[in-house]
Amino acid sequence: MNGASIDPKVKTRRALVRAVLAVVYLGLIALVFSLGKGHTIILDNKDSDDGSIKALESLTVSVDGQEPIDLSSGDRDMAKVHGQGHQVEITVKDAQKVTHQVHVPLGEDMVLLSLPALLSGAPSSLIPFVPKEIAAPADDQGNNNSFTSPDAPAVPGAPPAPGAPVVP
Amino acid sequence: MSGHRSVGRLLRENAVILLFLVVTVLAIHPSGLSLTYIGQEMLTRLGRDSFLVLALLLPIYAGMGLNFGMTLGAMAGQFGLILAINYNILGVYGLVFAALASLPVSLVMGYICGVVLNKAKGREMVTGYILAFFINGIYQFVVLYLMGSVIPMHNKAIVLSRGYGIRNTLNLDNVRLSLDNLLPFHLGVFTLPIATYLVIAALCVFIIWFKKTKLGQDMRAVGHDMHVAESAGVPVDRTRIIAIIISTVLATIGQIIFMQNMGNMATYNAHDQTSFFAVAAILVGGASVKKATIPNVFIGVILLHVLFVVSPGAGQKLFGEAMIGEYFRQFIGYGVIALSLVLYAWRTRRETERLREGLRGGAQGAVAAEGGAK
Repeated sequence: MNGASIDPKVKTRRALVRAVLAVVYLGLIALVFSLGKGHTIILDNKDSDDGSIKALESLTVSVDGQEPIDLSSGDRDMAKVHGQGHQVEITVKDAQKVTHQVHVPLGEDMVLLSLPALLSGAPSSLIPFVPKEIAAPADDQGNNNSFTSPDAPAVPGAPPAPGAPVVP
Repeated sequence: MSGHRSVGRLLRENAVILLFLVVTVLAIHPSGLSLTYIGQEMLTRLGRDSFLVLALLLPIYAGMGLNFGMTLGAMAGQFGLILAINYNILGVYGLVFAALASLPVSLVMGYICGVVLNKAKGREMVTGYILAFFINGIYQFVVLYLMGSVIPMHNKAIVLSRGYGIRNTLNLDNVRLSLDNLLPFHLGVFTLPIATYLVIAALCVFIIWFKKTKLGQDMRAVGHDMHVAESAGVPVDRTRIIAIIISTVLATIGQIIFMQNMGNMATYNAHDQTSFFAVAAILVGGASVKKATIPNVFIGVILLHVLFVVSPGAGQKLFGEAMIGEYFRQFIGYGVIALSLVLYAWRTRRETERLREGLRGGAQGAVAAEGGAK
């Protein structure tokens, strides 16, 4: 129990073992993070913005062996996946099944995969996608306990409380 | 005479479990639930709760009683789950991530708990209970104020609309049933969560192995008599701290398993009743403050949960009010803990009196003396 009596060699070995354990711990966290990180892939079958790549009339797509999704021209759907490397199987109407590998960046939660661009071999088939707005659930607005009752006299110059009757 | 005495002793020693068995069997019929339904519920709840209850064993071996401080581990587990949801880690990876992320927190919590309990030897249970209230305040502060302001939160959907603090209820869809459904096994009408059972079995094997190690033996020595253990050179305080740290870490994992089965988390009070129900379960299973075994855990979880499942139905049928059944759960939980503690105190006092009588040369001493004369 007395730290002073411990052999310096033992001390060094202990420190080394602890450092290795810390590295293994951090490595495990990083591994689990990269393997389990969830991504949403928006599967897009639309014309490109500049019109150079046209949408396909009809196709079936499956990501990582999930349930196949049928997409007509102009359609969008999504697939939820985890990890970074994914296999996308596309079957265009009356054609053979084509398999492509896509790599989703670790930091992206949502990416847009343009299937016509992927089939045509365009480099920018996978782009980050940011939804316009995430609406907050209306039923959970946190702690709304207020120190004043709704019918308390208003403070002069203060903005009206939400839902309070407008006094002319 | 001796037969009567042994039956009486058997009844006394298993009074809680027998009482509970009788109440449970009586409540099954009025509940109107089928045995198949109750059986499936038991199989599910056995997977959900057993790990948490097993976390109580080591402190009992170390003579620290029922670890009400396991709530600290539960809070650490929830902290890990919040991080897993925040970073959108899916499935079993999410559970492993939550366990890994909460590990340092639970180690620190376990250490703090161990140190505090060492300063309150002989009053560990009530100290652990109150310590859980204290740490709950810190947990609320971290989750309600620091998350989103000091701790960056990536997932805005779990943050309160004011910009910081976590929402009251979290949807755990990312990890929901991920362990239970990893290896599902269908046995007739029943579905068994084999992966969860394997994790629980691994913990049982660990506990059996741990008891045979030097540290495990030290723990039992400390649990048996602290002063004798100290004289024999066992580092009592250190051993007790280790027991609590392991229990806290196991409670963390147990809470994560519990939450993945439930599928949602009441952020600010899901941990409140963790230790309470775990303690009630192990006591219902026939354990005491000083003695507990692995079978006690499983018997307790099954019995307590059968009653939990049937009590709302029975309450509805017998009193015309399902809420009676809900109150009944609370009543039973607290009642079992109180009854067990009272019986334990009564048994200990009786044993002490018997020993004292023997030393004074009472009835037993006289019988022994008579035997010797013949």
